[in-house]
Amino acid sequence: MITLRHIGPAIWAASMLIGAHIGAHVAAADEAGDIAFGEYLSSQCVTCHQLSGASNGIPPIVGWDTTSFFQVMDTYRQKARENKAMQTIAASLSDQDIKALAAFFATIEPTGD
Amino acid sequence: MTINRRHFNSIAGAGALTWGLSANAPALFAAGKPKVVIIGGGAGGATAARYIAKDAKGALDVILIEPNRKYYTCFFSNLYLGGLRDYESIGHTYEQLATVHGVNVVHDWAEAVDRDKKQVRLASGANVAYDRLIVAPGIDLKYESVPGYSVAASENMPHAWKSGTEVALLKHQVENMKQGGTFVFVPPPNPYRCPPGPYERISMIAHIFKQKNPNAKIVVLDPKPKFSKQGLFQDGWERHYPGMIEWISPDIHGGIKGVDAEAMTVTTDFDTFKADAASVIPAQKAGTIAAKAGLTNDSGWCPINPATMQSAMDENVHIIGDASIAAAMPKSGFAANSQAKSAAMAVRAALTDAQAFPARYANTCWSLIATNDGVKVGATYKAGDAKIEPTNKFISKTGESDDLRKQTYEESVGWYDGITKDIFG
Repeated sequence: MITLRHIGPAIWAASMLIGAHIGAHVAAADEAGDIAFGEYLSSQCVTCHQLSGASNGIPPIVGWDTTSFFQVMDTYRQKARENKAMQTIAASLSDQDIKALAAFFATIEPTGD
Repeated sequence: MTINRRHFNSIAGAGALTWGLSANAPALFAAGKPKVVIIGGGAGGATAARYIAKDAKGALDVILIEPNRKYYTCFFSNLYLGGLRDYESIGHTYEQLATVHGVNVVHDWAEAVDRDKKQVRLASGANVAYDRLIVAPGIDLKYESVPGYSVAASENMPHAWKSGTEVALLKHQVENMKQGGTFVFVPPPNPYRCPPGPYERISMIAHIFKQKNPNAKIVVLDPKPKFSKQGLFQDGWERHYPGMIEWISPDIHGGIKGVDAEAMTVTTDFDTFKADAASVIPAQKAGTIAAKAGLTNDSGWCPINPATMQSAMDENVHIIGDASIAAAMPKSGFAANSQAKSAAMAVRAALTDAQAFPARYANTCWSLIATNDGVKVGATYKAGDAKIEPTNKFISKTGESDDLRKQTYEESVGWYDGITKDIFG
C-alpha cells in the first residue's frame, strides 16, 4: 500500500519512467541512428554476416542504404519475411536499435574477401 | 618472474612461440599500458582477444595464452566425421590475431592463477601479470563419471568431444567397423558442450553406414530421458536411416553401469551391449584451470555476473564460453563468441574510456541430419538480475520442405565461414 512515506519515491520513479519513455520516443523518431551504438550491436550480426560483404549461404548486409535496411529488418520483425533466426533476432530489436545498425552498416564498404 | 621485455626472448626461446612482432602490432607489453590476459584460444577466448585488441586500438596489451598452434573447431567436426568437410577445413591458426590485431599469442599452458597478485603462471615457469583476466578454458571430461572409462579406454571408445585428432580416430573406427556390426554410443548427461552435438554425431555416423555399411546398427544408450531437437532428429532418422538407429532412454535401460574398453561392452541395468565400435562421452566440468583458480562452485562450473561475464568470485576476472554458468544459454561456440563480445566491452570500459552498452547475447545451433537436411534452434538473451535470460527463441519444425532444409544447411555453411573469421580474423 502506498503511504505518505512512499509518495516521494513513487513520484520520482514515475517521473523517471515518463522521462525514459519520452527519451525513447524522441530517439526512435530520429532519422539517423547512433553509429557507435550500431557498431556495438553489429557485433552480434557479424557472427554470421561477414563485415567484408562476402556471402556464402548468408546474405551480405553492409553498404545498404539505411531506409532499405530498416524496412527489411522491420519486415522480419513483423514475421512478414521468412527466416526463423532473423525473425527472432529482429523481435529483440527496437526501432532505435535497427536505425543504429542501419547507420553503422551503411558506413561499411563491401570488400568481398 | 613477471614477463616483461627483458624476459620475452627467454620465454620465446623456451618454446613459447609469441607473435605480435609485425610492423602493425603494438609493442609487446609496452610500459604503462593496462594488460588483458586471456586463457584459452577457442571460440570465446580468441573472439575476446580479437575484439579487445581491435577496438582498443593499441591502448591495451592483449596476451592470449593457448597451447595449440592450430585450433580445430568442435562445431562442424561432425561434418568432417560424416565426410562432408575435410579435416583441414576446420583448423584455424592465430596468425591474423597476431599480425593484424597485435595480439600477443603465447603458445603455452596456463598452470595456475594467483588472483591476489593478478598473475598467471605458465608451464614454462614464467608469470604473466594482468589488470583483467579472461578465462575461457572450455570443458574438461569427468572420465570417472562412467565406471571403467578412462583416458586409456578412450582409445577404443573415443569421446572425440574436443575435436582434432580424436575425431579422426573415431572416424577411422566408424569407417572400418565390420560389416553389419553394432556401434554403441553413450551421450553425456546434462550439462555439456553442444546440446544437439551427440545427436548430429549419430546422424553423421548413420550417414557413413548408409553408404559403406548398410546393415550396421547404432545403439544409443542415453543417460537422459530427452534431448535437444529430439523430435527433429528422430523424425530425420526414420526418414533417412530407417531401422538403423535404436535410441534407448534411461527409463528403459535403467542407467549406465559401466564400460569395458577391452571387451568393448557397455553395461546398463537392463543388459550388456557388445560393440564392434563405440563412442562414450562422459560428464563434463569447466576446464581444469578454472577450478585451480578458485573460480568454480560445487557444480564444477563458473558462476558469473550476467551483465559483464565477470566471475562471481573476482571482479577482475571474466569467464566466457562453456566453462561459465550462462543459465539459459547453451554451451556452444556461438554462445561463447557472443559472450566474449560483452566481456570485451566490459574490459575495455573498465581499463580505458570506452563506452559500455547493456549486454545482449544470441545463439543459434545448426545440425545436419543428412545431406542437405539441416535444422536449427536459437534464441536471443539479455542480462537479468541474477542470470542470463532468453528474450525470444525459435526451432525448426518437422515437415519442413526439402528446399527449406537445404537452405538451412547452406546457411550453416555461411555461418561457419562468418564465425571463424569473426573469431580468428
